[in-house]
Amino acid sequence: MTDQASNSMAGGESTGIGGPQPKAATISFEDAALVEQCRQGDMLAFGSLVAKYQERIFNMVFRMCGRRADAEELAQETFLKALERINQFRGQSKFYTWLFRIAANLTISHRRRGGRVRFQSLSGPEEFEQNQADNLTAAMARKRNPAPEAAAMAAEANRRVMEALEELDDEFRLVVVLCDMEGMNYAQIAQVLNLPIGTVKSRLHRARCELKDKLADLVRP
Amino acid sequence: MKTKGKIQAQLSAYLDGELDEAQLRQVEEALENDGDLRVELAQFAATRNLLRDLPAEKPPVDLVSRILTEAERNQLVSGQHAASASNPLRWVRYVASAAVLLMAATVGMIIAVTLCSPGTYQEHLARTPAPARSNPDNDGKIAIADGDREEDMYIDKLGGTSGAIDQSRGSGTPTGRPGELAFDDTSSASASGNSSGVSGKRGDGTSSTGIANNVNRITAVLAGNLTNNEIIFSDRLNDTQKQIEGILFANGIAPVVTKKLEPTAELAKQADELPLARGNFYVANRLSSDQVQYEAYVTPRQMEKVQEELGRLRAKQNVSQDTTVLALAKASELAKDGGGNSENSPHSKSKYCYKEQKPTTGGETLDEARSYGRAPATTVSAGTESGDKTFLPKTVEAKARRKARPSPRVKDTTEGDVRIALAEAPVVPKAPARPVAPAPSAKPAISPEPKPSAPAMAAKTRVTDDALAKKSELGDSRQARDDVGGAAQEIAGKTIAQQRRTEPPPANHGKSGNSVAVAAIDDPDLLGRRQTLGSRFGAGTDAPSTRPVGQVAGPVGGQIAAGTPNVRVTPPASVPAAPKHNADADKDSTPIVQVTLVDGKAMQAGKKITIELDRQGQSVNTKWSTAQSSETHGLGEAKGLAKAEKLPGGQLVARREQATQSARPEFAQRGVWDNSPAGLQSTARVQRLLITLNYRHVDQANKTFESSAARIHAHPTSQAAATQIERTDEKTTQQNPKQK
Repeated sequence: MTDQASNSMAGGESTGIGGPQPKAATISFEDAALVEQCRQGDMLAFGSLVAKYQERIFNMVFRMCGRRADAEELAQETFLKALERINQFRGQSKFYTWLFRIAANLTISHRRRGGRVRFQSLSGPEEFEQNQADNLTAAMARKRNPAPEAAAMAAEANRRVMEALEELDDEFRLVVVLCDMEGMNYAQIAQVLNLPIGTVKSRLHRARCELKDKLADLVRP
Repeated sequence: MKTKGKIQAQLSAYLDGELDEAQLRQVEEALENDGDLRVELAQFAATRNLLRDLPAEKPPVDLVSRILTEAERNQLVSGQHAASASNPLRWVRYVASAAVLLMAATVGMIIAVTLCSPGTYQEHLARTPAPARSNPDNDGKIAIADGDREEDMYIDKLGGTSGAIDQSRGSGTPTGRPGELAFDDTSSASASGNSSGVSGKRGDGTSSTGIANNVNRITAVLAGNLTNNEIIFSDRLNDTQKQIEGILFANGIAPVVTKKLEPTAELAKQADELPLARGNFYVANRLSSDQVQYEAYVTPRQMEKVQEELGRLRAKQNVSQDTTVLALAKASELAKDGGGNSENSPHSKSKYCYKEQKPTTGGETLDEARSYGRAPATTVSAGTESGDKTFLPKTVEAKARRKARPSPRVKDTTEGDVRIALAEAPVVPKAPARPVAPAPSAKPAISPEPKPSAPAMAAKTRVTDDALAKKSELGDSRQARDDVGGAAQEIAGKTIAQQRRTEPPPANHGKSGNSVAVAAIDDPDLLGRRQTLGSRFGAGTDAPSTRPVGQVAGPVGGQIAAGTPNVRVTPPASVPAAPKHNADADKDSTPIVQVTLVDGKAMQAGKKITIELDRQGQSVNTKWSTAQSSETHGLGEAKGLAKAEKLPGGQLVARREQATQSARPEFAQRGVWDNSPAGLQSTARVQRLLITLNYRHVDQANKTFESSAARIHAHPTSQAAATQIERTDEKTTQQNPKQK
C-alpha cells in the first residue's frame, strides 16, 4: 500500500469492519487528486486508488458472494470498470461511494446469474493458497492460544453468522454489509444503492430482525 | 401496542444513531419503561457485534498488480485510454473517423453513379423489393445508407437473432429487446447512470454515428477483413470450451495466462509492448455468463488450421453456419454496439480459468515419450473432415467439393474422433535391405528437403462414430474396441495396400532392433482427406500378425518436417534402447496400428483409448487410460508440438532450443512455442483471431440462422459478400497449394 493510501486510511477515512463512521460525503482532496491524475492517464495514481480501497471492496464483495475466487474477480472487475468510467465521476460523492456503487451492482449482477458463473482462480487451485495460509495462521494461533475451545467456539459462531448472512436476500444483505461491516451511515448507503434513506432504514431493520431470529441462541442476552 | 411496534422499528436506527431528536427521546423513554424493548435492543446490538466480529478477509497480495496489469493490457489491446478526454492522440481518431466516413460516402457515390446509369437503376429497382426506410420503429430493421439511397445496403438488424441470443442467456428468459446486446453485467452500469454494455458504448445502431460505423464495419466484412471472427454456438458450453482450447493447443497456440506465467507478469507486459510478441498465444475472456471469447494471435498457418478445425467443431454442434450470415450477423452485432468496439472491449472481460498445464504427455515430455517409444513418431496434421455436410458452412462445403475424394470412413457422423497411427515394429526382414534413406547421422535430424518414397508410415486420421463415442462413454469397451477395430482395419488395409504398391523397403531393412526411418507420404488421396501419414519403420515384412496381445510398438525416432509435399526419410543414428517389450517386437514383423480415440467427451473426462491392431486389422492390444482432465491440455500440447514440427527446416527445434535459453523458459519447458519477438519475426506475420463462443440451443440457432440466411441472402449485396468470401477462399487456397 502506498504512503498516500496509508496516510489517508490513517486519517480515518477508510475504516475496516466496525471502524469509525466516515466523514461528510465529499471527495477528499487526496482522492480528488488521484482521480484527476488517473484521468490524465497516470496508472500510478490508479494503482494508489486500487491499493487504498482494495481491501474494503474485496471484503464487501466477499461478504456478498461468499466465495473468494468470485470476490477476487469481482473486485478486479470493479476497479477496471471504475477506470473505464473515471471520466464520469464528477466528484459529487466520495470516490469510494462511487466505487462501492459499481461493486454493489457488479456483485448483485453476479448473484443474479445464480452462481452459474464461477470464476476460477488463475493463480492456482482454487483458494488453495489462501487456505494454506489460513491453515498455517490458524495452526500458529492454536499454538499460542491458551484457550483453543474459545477459538473453536468463535470460529463456529463466525460460520453461523456467515450462513445466516448468506440466507438473507440480496437487498437486505447488502445494507447489512455496508452498514455493519463497512461502517457506512444511512445516507452513504442510500447514496451507494440509490435508495431513499427510509428504505435503507427499513431494510436494515428487517435484515437485523431476520438475523436476530436466525442467531437467536447466539444473541440471547 | 401500536406505539410499541413503532418503537421496535426504530430500535435498529437508534442503535446506529440515526434518529433525530424527537425520535431519540421517544425511544429512550420507551426503553426506560419497557424491559422487552431493552432485551430486543440488546439482541440487535449482539447481532451487530457478531457481524462486526467477522474476521476481515485479506485480498490476495497481488490483486493490485493484477488489476494494473489487466488495465494496461486492456489499454494496449483496445488502443484506447480510459482517460480518452485527455488523450493527446484523440484527434487522430476523429480524423480517422472522418476519413472512413468520407470513404464510405465516396463508395456510396460510386455505387449511386453506377446504378443511375441509363436503364440500370430502373432495372435494379424492378428486381429489388423496396427496402424500408431507416426507421427505428420499423420492426427491428434498419437501412444502412450513405445518404438518401437506402437500397445500397439493406440488412436485417437481426433482431430475431439477438433475441434468440438473449433467450439462451442464463435462465433462458427472452429479454425481447432486439438490437441490444445482452451482457449480464450491464446492470452494473446503471450505477453510474450510463447504460454501457461490454464496451461501455452501447446504442441501437441507428444514430448517425452508428450508421456510419455500420457502413464501415459491413464494408469491412464485405472486404473480408473481419473473416478472422469465428462464432461458435453451443448448448454445451463447457464441452465446447474445452474443444476450442484443444484446437488452439493442437495448433501450438498457448494460453497467455497460466500459473506458470503468473510470476512473470512482467514478461506478459513485455509481450504486450511488442505486437509481434503477441503471436501464438490466446487470452480467453468471459464476456458474460454464457459467452466466452478467445482472442488469439496466430500465424497465418495457424489461422488457417484453427479456422478449419473450428468449422468441424461447428459441424459437431449441428448448427447451420453460413459464413455470410455469420459475418453479417457479427457486423450487425458490432453495429448494434453503437459503433463501440465490443470485440475489443476489455474492461468487462474477466479472465477465464485455465487449468495448469502439465508439460508432459502423460507424465513425460513428448520427446521423452518418443525416445521411449510411447508416442508416435510423427503426427503431422489434424483432420478436418466435417460431419454431415448438411450443416457445413458454405465455404467449407465448397472446400469439401474441391477436395472431394473417397473417404475411408466407416461412418460419417460427428461424435468422436479416432486417430489411427500405423507403426511397424523393428523386425528381422526376409529380404535384403534396399537403402533409400540417408545414412544415419549423429542425431535425429530433419531433412531440409523432402525426398520422395520411403517406407512409411504412421497414419493418423479421424474416424467419427457417434455410436462408438457413446459406447465408450458408457464403458462398453469391447463393443467400442470392435467398432474401432473395424474402422481401423479398413483404413489400415487401404494404407498398407498403398504402401505396398508405392514404397520400397526401409533403409535399415534387415537391421534388427533399429527404427531408423521416419517418413510421411503426401498422398493426395489421403492428405486430401486430411489424413496424415507418418511412421517409424524398422524392418518389416508383410507377414500376418503373430504379435501376442499386449505388445506395443517399438521406439520411434526422428522427426518430420512440415509442409513437405513428398516423403522424407530421416534416419537417426542413435536410437534409444528399446523398451523391454520390443524384444518380442524384434522377433515379430507385424506392423501395429495404434488407434487412439480422442473424442470430445473422452477428452473432457480425461479418457484416452489406445487400441493396437495388427496389419490384418485384428485388435491385439487395447489400452484404456484415464488421466486427469488437466492432461487434456497435455494431449493438445503434444499435438500442437507435433504440428509445430511441420515448420520447414527444423526451425521449431532451433527455436525451442533458443527459447530454452531465452527469457521465457516456461514456453520452452512446455515445448509449446517460442513466441519471442525474434522467433515470431522469423516465422510469419501475426494475425488476430477472435473466437466467440455463445451458449445457445442448437435447434434455436438453426432456426434463427435459416431465417436470417433467407433474409440476408435475398439481398444482392449479400450475394456480393458471398462471392467475395468465396473468392477470398479460392485465393487462400491458391496461395497454399498444399491444401489442394
